[in-house]
Amino acid sequence: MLARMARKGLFAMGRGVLFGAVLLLAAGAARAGAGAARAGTDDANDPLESANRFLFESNLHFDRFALRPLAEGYRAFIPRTGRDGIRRVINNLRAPVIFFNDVLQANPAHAGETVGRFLINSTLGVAGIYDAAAHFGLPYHNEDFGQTLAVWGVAEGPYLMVPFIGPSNPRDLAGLAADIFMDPFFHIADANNVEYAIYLRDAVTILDWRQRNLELVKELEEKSVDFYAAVRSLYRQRRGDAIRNGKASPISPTFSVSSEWKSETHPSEGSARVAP
Amino acid sequence: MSDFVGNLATSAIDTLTEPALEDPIRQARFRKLFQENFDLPVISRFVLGRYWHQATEAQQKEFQSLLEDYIVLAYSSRFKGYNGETFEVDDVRSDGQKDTIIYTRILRQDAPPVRVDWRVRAPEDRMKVIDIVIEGLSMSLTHRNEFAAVIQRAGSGIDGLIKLLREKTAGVNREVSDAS
Repeated sequence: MLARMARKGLFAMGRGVLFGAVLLLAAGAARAGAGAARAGTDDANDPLESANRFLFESNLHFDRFALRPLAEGYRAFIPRTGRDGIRRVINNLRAPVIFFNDVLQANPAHAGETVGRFLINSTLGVAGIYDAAAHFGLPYHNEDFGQTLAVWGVAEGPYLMVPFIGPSNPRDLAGLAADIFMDPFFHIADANNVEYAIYLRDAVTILDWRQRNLELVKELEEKSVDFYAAVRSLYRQRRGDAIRNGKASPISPTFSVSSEWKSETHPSEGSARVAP
Repeated sequence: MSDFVGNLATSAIDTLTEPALEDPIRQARFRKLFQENFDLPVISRFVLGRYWHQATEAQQKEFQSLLEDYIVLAYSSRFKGYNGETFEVDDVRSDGQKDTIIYTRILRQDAPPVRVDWRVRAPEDRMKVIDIVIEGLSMSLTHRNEFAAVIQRAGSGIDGLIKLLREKTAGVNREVSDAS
C-alpha cells in the first residue's frame, strides 16, 4: 500500500515538473516574438549557461555511474535481434502520439503513413516486432509535440540542461508533457494501475538510445575541446533538422547553416567582412 | 558533382575502413584525402567565424594548420570498423551563388541509412568540400560553436583555443600518405 502511494506520489511529481515546463513555456512564448528573429548560429541561446554547465556535469556523473553501465549491460545481455525487436515494438506503441502530431502539424501524408504502419505492424508485424510496413513503402518517422509547437511558430526559449533528461528547452519540455498526455497507452496503463509498464517502456527506450550511442558519445567526449558546447550545438541542430523533417528549407525560426555559408567568401575572392 | 563526391566517398571507404589499420597510418591516409578534397582556408574562416578577423595573421596561420590536425584526429577514427556500406546520391542542388549541395545516403546492412549532405564549392576549377552535414548536423557549424565557447572562456581568447588545440593534437601523425 505504502509503495503504491509512493509510486503515485512520484508519478504526480513527474507530472508537476512537466506542467511547470508548460507554464515556463507560456511565460517564454509571451516574449518570444522578438527573440525568434535574432536566433542565429553564433547566438548560443544560453542565458543560464553557468547553471546549465553545472547540471551537465551532474548528468555526466549520473551517466558514468548509472546510465552508461546499464546501457553496456543491456547491450551485453540482450542480443542484437532482440534489441531491434524491442525497439520496433516500442516505436509501434508510439504511433498514436506520432499520428496526433502529424495531424496537428497539418501533414496528412505523414498521418496516413503512421496509421498504415500501425495497422500493418500491429498485425503482420506481430505487435510491432517486425517492421512489415517498411516493406510496403511506409518508413518510420517520428514526431513529437515539441516539433509541433515549432511548426506552429512557438520559439524554443532558452537552452536548458535538465537533470536526468539532458539537453532541452521550454518548448521541448512542454512537448514532452503534452506527448505523455496524448498517449492512449499512458492512460490505459494509468487506469489499470500498471503505470510501471510505461516506466519500463521509457526506461528501455533510454537504455536503447544510450546503447546505440555508446561509441559516438565516447568519441565526442574524447575529441571535443568543449564537450558542453558541442552537445549544445548538436542538440539544437538535431532539433532543427527534426522540425524541418530533414528538409533543407527552414520552416522554423531555428537557424539553418545555409544562410551562414552564403555570407562567407573564399579567401581568394577578397577580404569581404562577415558581419558579427 | 555527384561523381566527385562518389569518388571521394569510395576512396574513403576503400582506404580508411580496414579494421586492422593502425591509427597513424589511417591518419596519414585521411590527411591526404582531406588535403586533396577539402578547402581548408574556407573551412578555417568559417569555423573561426567572427574571430577570424580579430585574429592576427600569425594566429590565423597557426589555427589553420592546427584545425587540419584536429580534423585528422577527430574524424579519421570514425572510419574504423565500417563495412558493407554503399552510397547513393539522392539529389544535387545549388545553394546560393557559390555552393552545391550533394544529398546522399550511406546505406548500411541491418541499420537505417544515414543522410550525408556534402557542401561543395569550386571557386577555381577544382571542386572542394567545405562542409559535411550528417543527419542535419553540420560538422563545420558544430566546431564553430564549440570553438567560440572556448574563445569566450575567461582569460582564454584565440590564444587559449590555439593552446588547447595544440595539446589535443599533440599525438597526431603529421605525415601524409596514400594507400599504396
